[in-house]
Amino acid sequence: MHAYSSDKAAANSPWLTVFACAVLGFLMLPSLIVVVISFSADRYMTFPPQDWSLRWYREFLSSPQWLAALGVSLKVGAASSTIALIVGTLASFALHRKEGAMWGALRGVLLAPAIVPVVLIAAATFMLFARTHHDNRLLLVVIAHAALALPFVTITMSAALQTYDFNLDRAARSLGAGPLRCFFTVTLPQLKGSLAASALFGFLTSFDEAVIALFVTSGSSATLAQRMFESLRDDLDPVIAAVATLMIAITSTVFIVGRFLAPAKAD
Amino acid sequence: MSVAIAVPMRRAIGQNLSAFFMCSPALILVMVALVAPLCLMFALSLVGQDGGLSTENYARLFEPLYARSAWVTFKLATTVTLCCALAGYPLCYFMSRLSLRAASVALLLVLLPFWTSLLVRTYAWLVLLQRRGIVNESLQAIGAIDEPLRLVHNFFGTTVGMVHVLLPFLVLPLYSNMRAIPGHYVNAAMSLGASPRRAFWQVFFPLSFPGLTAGLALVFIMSLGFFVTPALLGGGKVSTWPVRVESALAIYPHAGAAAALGIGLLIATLALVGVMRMAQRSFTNRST
Repeated sequence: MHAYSSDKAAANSPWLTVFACAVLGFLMLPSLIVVVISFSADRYMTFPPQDWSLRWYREFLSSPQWLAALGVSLKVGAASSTIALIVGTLASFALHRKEGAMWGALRGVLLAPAIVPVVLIAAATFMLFARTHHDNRLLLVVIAHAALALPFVTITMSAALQTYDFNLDRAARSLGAGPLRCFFTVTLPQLKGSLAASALFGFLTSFDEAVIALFVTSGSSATLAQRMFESLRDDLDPVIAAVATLMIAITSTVFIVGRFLAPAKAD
Repeated sequence: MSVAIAVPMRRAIGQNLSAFFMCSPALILVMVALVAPLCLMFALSLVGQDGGLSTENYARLFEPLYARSAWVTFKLATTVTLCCALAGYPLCYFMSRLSLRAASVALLLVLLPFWTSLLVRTYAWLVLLQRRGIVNESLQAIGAIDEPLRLVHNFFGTTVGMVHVLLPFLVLPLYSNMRAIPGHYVNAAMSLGASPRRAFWQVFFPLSFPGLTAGLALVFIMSLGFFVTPALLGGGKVSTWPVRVESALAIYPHAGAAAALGIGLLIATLALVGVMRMAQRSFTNRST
C-alpha cells in the first residue's frame, strides 16, 4: 500500500477536529463510565457517584451464582478456544498456498460462522437440542463457541504461515527428523506468537458470547455473559457494574497480550 | 516418459489428499455446529402445526405482526447505517490527514471499544441514557429541557447503542481506503483551478467510494442480525427479526414459526453478502 499523502500531516480544520474528537469520545467514554460506576456506593448507578465503595465487588465475590457463572465461562472459553486452535491450525496448514475454486470454497466454509448471525446459530442449536434430549448442554455451547472462534484462528494462522520460512522445516527433515518431531520441535515453537494470539482471541469470542448460552443453558450451567444479559434485561442488579469492570479488565488484558504476540499484519 | 509425468502427478494428488484430510476436523466442526443445526431449522420450518409438510410458517411471515418486525429491522439497519456514515466519514477523513503516528493512536482508540464486551457497552448506554442518567441530567442542568427525555428502552436508545458497536466496522475499511488515496490528486485538481470543496467532491470522495460502500454494507448486514442490543436497549418495543426469533421460540410450542423466521433472516443475510461481494468484484474490475 503506497501512502503518498499520508507521510506528512495535512491541516485539519478546527470544526473537523472538534467533530472527530467528539466521535472518538462517543466511542470511548461509555466503557470508562462503567468502570467508574463500579466503585460507586450508590445503588442507582448515578454518574458521577456520590460515594465510593467496593461493595459491588464484595457482593460479586461472595455470590455463588456469579462465581459459578464465571467458572463456567472460563471453562467453556478454555475448552472452545483449544478446540478451535487445534482444528483451525491444522486447516491453515492444509490450505497454505492452495489455489483454486475448491480450496477457495473450503476457506469460505471455514469462515461461514462469522457471517451467519449468532442468534440463528443459537436458535438452531436449541432446536437440535430440544429434539435430541442431550444431557450435556455445556458441550453444545463449547462446540458452538469453537465454531465461532474458528474464523479468527484460521485467519491469524494463515497470515502467520505466509511469512513462515519452510526451509527450516526442510533442513530439519533433511537432518533426519520425522514429520511429527519436526512439527513439534521446529514448526510450532516458531509459530508460538500467532498460536497464542489465536487462542486468546478465541477465548475472548467465547467469553463475551451471551446469545448461544442464553438459548441453550440455564441455571447452574449459565455462563457469565448469559447471567449478565439476563440481569440487564430483568433486574439490573448493580453488581453488574463490578462484573462489567472485571470483564473489561480480563478482555483488555487478553487483547493487549494478544496484540503483542501476533506479528504485525498488513490490513 | 509416462513415468516421469506420473510421479509428480501422484505426489500432487497425495498432497491434495493429505491437505484435505488435515482440513477435515475443521470441516466437521463447522458441519456439526453450524450446517446440521441450520438444516434442521430449515426442515422444521416446513413442518406445519399438524405435523405434516406445509408452507404455513412462511405464509405466517406475511402477517402484520411479522411484517412489522421485518419493517422495524429494515428501518433500524438503515438508520444505524446512515448514522455511522455521517459520524464515520468525517472521522476517517480527519484521521487520514493526521501524521501516521497520530493516526495509529486514533485507530487504536477506535478499536479499543471494539474489543470491549458487547454487554458491557450496552450496559454503559443503559446507564448513560436512563431518566436520571448523565445525558438527561446535563441537559436539564443547562436548561435545554424541563423533563427528562426518553432516551432508552426505545428505538433511539437502540440506534445509539448499535452505532456505537458498528462504527469501528465502517472506520476500518474506509480509513485504509482513504490512506491509499494519493494526496497529489487533490493538489493537482486545485492547481488546475478547482476550489477545495470541488476538489474534494469530484476527486477525493469518488476515490473513497469503495471503502465507504464496503464499510456501509458490512454495517447494514450486521445490523440485521443483531440480537443483544435491540433486546436490551429496546425495552421490548424494538422487535427486530432476531428478537422475534427468540420470542417465537419462547411462546410457540412448536418451532415452525421461529424456524421460518430464522431461515428468512439467513436468506436475507446471505443474499446481501452475495450482492456485496459481487459489487466489490465489479469495483475492482472497473478500477483496473
